[in-house]
Order: sequence, then structure tokens, then C-alpha cells
Amino acid sequence: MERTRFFTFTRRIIGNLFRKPATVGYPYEPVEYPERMRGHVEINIEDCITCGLCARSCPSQAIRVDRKAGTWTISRFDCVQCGSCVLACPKKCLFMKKGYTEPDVTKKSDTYTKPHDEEKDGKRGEEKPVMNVEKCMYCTLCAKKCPQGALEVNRKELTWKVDKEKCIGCAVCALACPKKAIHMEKG
Amino acid sequence: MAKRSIVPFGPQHPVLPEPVHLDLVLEDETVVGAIPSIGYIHRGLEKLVEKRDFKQYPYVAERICGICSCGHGLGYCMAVEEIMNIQVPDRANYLRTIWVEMSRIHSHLLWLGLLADAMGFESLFMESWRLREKILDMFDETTGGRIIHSVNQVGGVQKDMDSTMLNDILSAIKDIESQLKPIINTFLQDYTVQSRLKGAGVLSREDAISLGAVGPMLRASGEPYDVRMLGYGAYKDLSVEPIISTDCDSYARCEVRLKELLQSFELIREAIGKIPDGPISVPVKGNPAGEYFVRIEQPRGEAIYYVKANGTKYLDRFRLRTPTTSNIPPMVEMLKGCQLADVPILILTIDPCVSCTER
Amino acid sequence: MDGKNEIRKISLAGFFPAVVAMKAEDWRLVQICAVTVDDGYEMSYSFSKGYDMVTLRLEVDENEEIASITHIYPCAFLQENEAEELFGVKIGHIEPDYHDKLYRIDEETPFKKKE
Repeated sequence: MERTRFFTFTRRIIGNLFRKPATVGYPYEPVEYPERMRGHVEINIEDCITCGLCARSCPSQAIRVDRKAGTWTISRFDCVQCGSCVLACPKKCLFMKKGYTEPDVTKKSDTYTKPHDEEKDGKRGEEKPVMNVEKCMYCTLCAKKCPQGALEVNRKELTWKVDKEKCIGCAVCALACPKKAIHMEKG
Repeated sequence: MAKRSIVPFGPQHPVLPEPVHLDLVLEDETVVGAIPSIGYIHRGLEKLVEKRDFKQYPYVAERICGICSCGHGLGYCMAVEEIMNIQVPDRANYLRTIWVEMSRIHSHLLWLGLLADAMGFESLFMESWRLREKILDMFDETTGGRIIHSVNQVGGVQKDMDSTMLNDILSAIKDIESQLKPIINTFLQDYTVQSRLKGAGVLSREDAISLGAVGPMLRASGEPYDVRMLGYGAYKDLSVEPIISTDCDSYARCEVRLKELLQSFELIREAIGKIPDGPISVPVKGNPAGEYFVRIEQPRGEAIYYVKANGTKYLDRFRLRTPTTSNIPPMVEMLKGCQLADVPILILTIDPCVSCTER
Repeated sequence: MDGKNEIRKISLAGFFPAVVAMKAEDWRLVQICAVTVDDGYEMSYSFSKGYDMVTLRLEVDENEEIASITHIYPCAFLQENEAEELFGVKIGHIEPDYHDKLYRIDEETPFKKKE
């Protein structure tokens, strides 16, 4: 049994009259955010290969990728800042930066367009997978991981084919191969 | 013969923190019976597991509730890892345990503030929440988010904490502990607090066990049941003891939660002292098939996670039985015989978290 | 320490006596879970004593009625009402019965069909 006392909190209350407030006067005073804070998603659009893996991994479906137009759109108010797209990107062009999206009256989204580069146009995503016949085990992992379904691997007949029209050069197959039998080559 | 009347209580009420509705049957000022009613924030999140990849679902699972979010992500990932027979590295277990214990500290400080507010003691409520801000700042620094952490993934954790961050956690805890003394003294020894809490809402040990109470409600009635003794995560290497009290009233529940707060400080210090080096996650191959039940100790009690998988990347069923679902029947029993003015305090002593209950 | 965690299959006829036997040995009811399978439902009733947990697994068709266990374990009413409302499992004589008004959702038995 604890004993009973009176006026236990008085000393703290009188001290609080003279202490400065514990809160930050935001938004009039600036706030320091820590480095790891998951505030909003930013992209280095030059490195993006529009493979669409980030859009597939978003739990709230806030990202839209248009391969033909070369745009990457994120709906800022649907994004829940989970960081799933950052982990999924094979080229590591997505980052979480600190600072939250400002409140607004309508739901806005941000679109980033890939820079139209005359020399590189038509050459982006040009690198296609090439298989090393000695190392390949026909385990079909590359075909399962391909986001565009461009690989056909047949275990029984020992064939490996890539559909160059569908392939976008994201190199997920090269990353997934357990024997490192795929490398990317131009042409 | 006294006149009976029915008074609706909640879901909008100045002192009630959670949207639960009770129809109180009153005789003059004494409550004779209560009928609970929930369903104001049902989102059907368990249905979403059939449409989201099992590796994406931790992000949904931890958004079921804001206060218990670290535990929900942990429980789901543990269930899937058991089905797929994945061994999580030791360092990941220790990191998960440190984050879950910090989540327990933050939840108990939140509850203490709400209890003080329900009694009308607003400056004590502000002081408790001022201390809670220090833990939220630590979460922001180490995981990236104040309430929703997004660090658990199937196979381990996503982010590592180096020794500077661990030392920051230790100094934050030392700071909080030294400033917690006047608050503990007020909660346990002040005359007004004692006269509101002592003798209110008595739940005997037999009633608590037969009605299915869990967590601090069960431990305050004298039954030593703490799921951390099962040894999941890093708890098998740490010294955990269930904290019990035999008084069975609201004052005992307040005492149990305060002592658990102090125990969490010791557990975090011990875990940071013993944390091993190594990888923080293992790669996950294939799809799960099978079913499993996982029990973990959330700040509010024992939570059970059931996962059923059928071999594709979408799961068949995910069910989460939260501690508040089990604590509502004993709460209804406890309300019989109390005064109308005590009803908000008794509802708060079960630590309700209705967004978990309704998912 | 390790707790036991096992699943036992039981038939509809032997279900009620098994629950009464659990109560006689002082097991606490912990959860009631419903899963939709191809031609019916799979109900799991979990009990716990000390640190062990035992689950009784019951498979029923869509139209078979299960007896409610609220007369033995009064704390089961919330979870049985939820199974009835969201899945459409037929459970008789729940006390108190909310008659599908527990969650007050617009669609009837939304969890019944699989996407």
C-alpha cells in the first residue's frame, strides 16, 4: 500500500510557470527533421528506365508509369510514405527525403518527364540480356522475375529466349540469376 | 422501486478517447448493465490480404492501429517467417525487440496521460505527453516515422541502427527516467488520484480468467501471464518477469502499467548491451504454404496473429485477434454496480484501442 | 520456455462436448476465426491454459448451423457475431445477438467470396 500525500504536483506546476514552453512554434519557427525521416518520395528521372516495378509494389497504388510517354507520376496525397518503391527500384533512382507534403485544398500529383535526349532516344533500354550457355541451369527464375514477361525458358527442351520487343532493359533478370549467367549487352 | 433509464454513452464524448458506444442501464445513479456496440471505424483490412503481395502486406498490417503499429508488423512477419521456415538473424531479433519495447513505453505514457485527463488532472496529462515526445523523436531518428515505423519486413528488418543511434536511445531513456519521478509519485500517492481509483472497478481473479481478460487487466487481478515469457524475438536472452498485483481494482492496473514502464527501460538497456553484430535480414525465396498462429505481447495484452497461405503470392486469410476484443466482456461485467461518473475511468482502464478491434 | 501450439480436428457432432470438456479443465477461450474454403467454412476455436494453446478445427458446409458457445463462455459473443456478419456462418442462439448490426456495413457478408 502506498502512503497518501497531498499537493504532490505543486512544485512542478510552479516551476512550469517559469520554464519555456516544451513545444516548437511551428510553422513560424523552423523545425529540424532527422536524416532518416520518410517525408516524401523523390526521383532522379534521368536514371529511370520506366520498368514499372515501383508502381507494382506500391500498396496504395499511388504511382503511375507511362512507358511510351516516358513519365513517372506520383499522387502525393495517396502516398503513405512507406518506402516500398525505394526498395523495389532496380536502378536505385528513388529516395525518401525529409519534409512532408504541404496541406492543400485539392489532391495534387507530381509528374516527372524523362529528358528528351536526341542521341539516347531509342537507345534507352537498349541493353538486352545475353545468356551464357555454359552457366545456365534453366531454373526459370529470370522468366519469373521479368516484369514484362519477355523471357521464355523451357526446362525440358533446354531453350532460353528473350523477346526483344517486350524487353525494356531493366536488368532484373541479371540480378535474379543464381549462377550469374546473364549479362546486359547493347544490340 | 427505483426507476430504470437508458443513457447512451459515446461514441462522441469529451472524455472518451475511442469510438465505442455503450447503452448504460441506470437505476438512479448506479449502472446496472451495459450493452457495448462497436463498428464505427470498420475498414475491412483483413480482406485486403487477398489483393496485396505477401511482402507488401506488412505496410498495411502496421497501419491497422497507430499506437500498437510496431507490434502488428512484427506479428505478421513472424507468422509468415514461421510458415516459410526462415531463420531471422540475431541482430534483427534484437533490433525488433528494442523497437517493440520503445513502443511499449510510448503506449503506456499515452495511457497515463489519458487517465489523468479523464480524472480532470490536465497538467499531469500534459507532463506525461511531454515525456512521450522524447520517445517519438527517437523513433523519428531511427526508423523515419514517428508513429508508423515501416521497419519490419519478411526476413528481418529494413534499417540498421549504428552505435551512435543506440547511444542516443540510451541517453533519451536516461532523460525520461529522471523526469518520470514526480509523475510516478503523483499517480501512486496523491490523495485525489487514490480516491478516484481505489476500489473502482473490481474484477476478481476468477472472473478475469473466465471472462477472458488479457494483458495488464489480467495481471492486476493476480494471474502471472505474460506472453513475453515464451521467448520470441530476443526475449529468450533477456530477463522478463510478469508484473502482478493482487488488488484487482483500477489503482492496481495503473500500478502494473507504471512498473512495466520501468521494466521496459531495464530491458532496453540490457538488449543494447547484448546486441550482436551481423546481417539484418535474409533474402526470401518462394511463396508460403501452410498456416500458423503467433502470439505476442502488445502493450495492451496478448495479440494472436493467424496466417493461412496457399502457395501463391496472395495469402488466403490473415486474422488478428487484438487484446481489446478480449477485454470488452470483462469491462461490461466491471461496469455493473459503479456510479455513472466512474464510467469513463473504467472504460479507460482496459486501455481500449478500437481501431485494432475493428480493423 | 516453450508453449504448446497444436491444432486438433473435430467433427460437428463432437464439437459441443469438446468445448464443455475444455471448460471443465479450466481452459480460457482465446479466439474464434472463420475462413472461407471452397464449399463451406473452416472455423478455428482457440483455447489457452498457462502458456499452451490448443485450437479446435471445425469444417462446416454453408448451410449447417453451429451451436453458440456463449452459454459456456460468455465472452465469445463479439467474435461469433463478427463471424456471422462478415462471413455468413450460421450460429444459433448467440447471447446477445446483434442481428448483423455489429459493424453496420452496407454489403452483406463481404468476406464470403474470394477475390
